[in-house]
Amino acid sequence: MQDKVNVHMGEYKIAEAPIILQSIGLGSCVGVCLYDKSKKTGGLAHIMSANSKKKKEEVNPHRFADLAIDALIKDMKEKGCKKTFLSAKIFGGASMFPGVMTLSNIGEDNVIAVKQKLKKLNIKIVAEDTGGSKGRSIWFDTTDGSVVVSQIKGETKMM
Amino acid sequence: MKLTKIQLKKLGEIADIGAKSASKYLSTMTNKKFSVNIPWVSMYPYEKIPRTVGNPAETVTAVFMQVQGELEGVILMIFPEKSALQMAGLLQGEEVTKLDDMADSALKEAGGNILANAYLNAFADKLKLKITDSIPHITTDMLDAVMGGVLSQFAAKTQDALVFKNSFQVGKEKVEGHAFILFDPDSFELIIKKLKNAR
Repeated sequence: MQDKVNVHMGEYKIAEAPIILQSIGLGSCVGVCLYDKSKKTGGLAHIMSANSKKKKEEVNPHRFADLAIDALIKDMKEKGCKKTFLSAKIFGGASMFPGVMTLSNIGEDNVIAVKQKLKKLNIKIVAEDTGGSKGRSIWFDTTDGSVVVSQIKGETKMM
Repeated sequence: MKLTKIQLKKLGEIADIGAKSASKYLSTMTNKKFSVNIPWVSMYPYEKIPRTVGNPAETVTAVFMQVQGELEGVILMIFPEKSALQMAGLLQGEEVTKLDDMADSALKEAGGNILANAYLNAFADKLKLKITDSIPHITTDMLDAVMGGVLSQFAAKTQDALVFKNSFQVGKEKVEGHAFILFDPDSFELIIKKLKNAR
C-alpha cells in the first residue's frame, strides 16, 4: 500500500514517490497538482478563493490561488524541483448551489485565477476536470503524476 | 477582527432563543421531541469548520439560505445522509427511502423556512435589525464539497468566521442535523455596535 497524505482546504503539501496526495470533497475549491517527472515529486494545493484583494486582515495565504501556487513552487524548488519541468493538472471549481447568485461564480472564478497564475508562470496545464455542480475527490500518485478523480454517483476516471 | 467573550456569550444567548423556537416548531410539526444543544458560537478559522460535522467524504444533504437586509450572511443546514432521509420521513409522516423532489421540498421547508426564520427572528428582535432569508436551495454531496463554496465567499476576507452552530437530535430516531449561521465579515462591526444595546 502506498502512503496517502491528505491535503485539506487552504493547505498545500509536497511529496515524493510513492506517496499519494489526496483531496477529498473539492466543491468550488480547486485542487492544483504540480508534478516534476524527473524528480518524481508532486505538490498539491487545495485552493478556496480566487484572489487575496478582498482581505481585511491577515488571512491564511494558502487559501488563495495566487499566493498558494507561489508558495508551493518555492517549496518544490527547495526540494530540488525545477520550474521548467513542472506540469499542472487542475480539478474542482464546481458550483454546488447553481441557483445561488452569490455562490455560483466562486468555483469558476477559482479556476480562472488558477489558470491565469499558471499561465503567468509558464506552467502547462496537461489535464483538467473542472466546473459542473458536483463535488470531486482526487488522488494524485507521485510515482507517475497520474490523478484519479471521482464524484458521488458519478464516474471515476484517471487523468 | 476578534469578538470578546462577553460579546460571544450574548450572541450565543440570541442563537439559543432561535434554536429553542425552531425546535418547538419542529416538535409540533412532527409530534416528536426535538432536543437542541447549547449553541457553539466562535470566531473560528473557515477551513476548519467542516471538521465540526464529520469527515470530508461524508455524504450530506445541505439546505442553504442567504441572510439579507441590514446583516449579510448565510444559513446552512447539514443533515448526514441517513438523517436526511429520516428527517424527510418525519416531516412527510411516512417512510422515505430516497431523496426525491418531495423529500427535498420537505427538507427545504423545515431546514429553510422554519429553522432559518426562527434564528433570524431572534437576531432581528434582539439586535433591532431588519433581516430576511432567501429561498432555500438544497444539494446532496460530500461534506467538504458542500461547505467549501459557502465558506469561500467569506474566507477571502477574514481569517476567522463568526460562526454559530446548533446541533439537534430527534427523540429515539437518532436523527441529527447541524445548523450553521455565518455572517459576512462586512457585517461584524454592525453586530458589535448593535450588541451594546441588546437587552
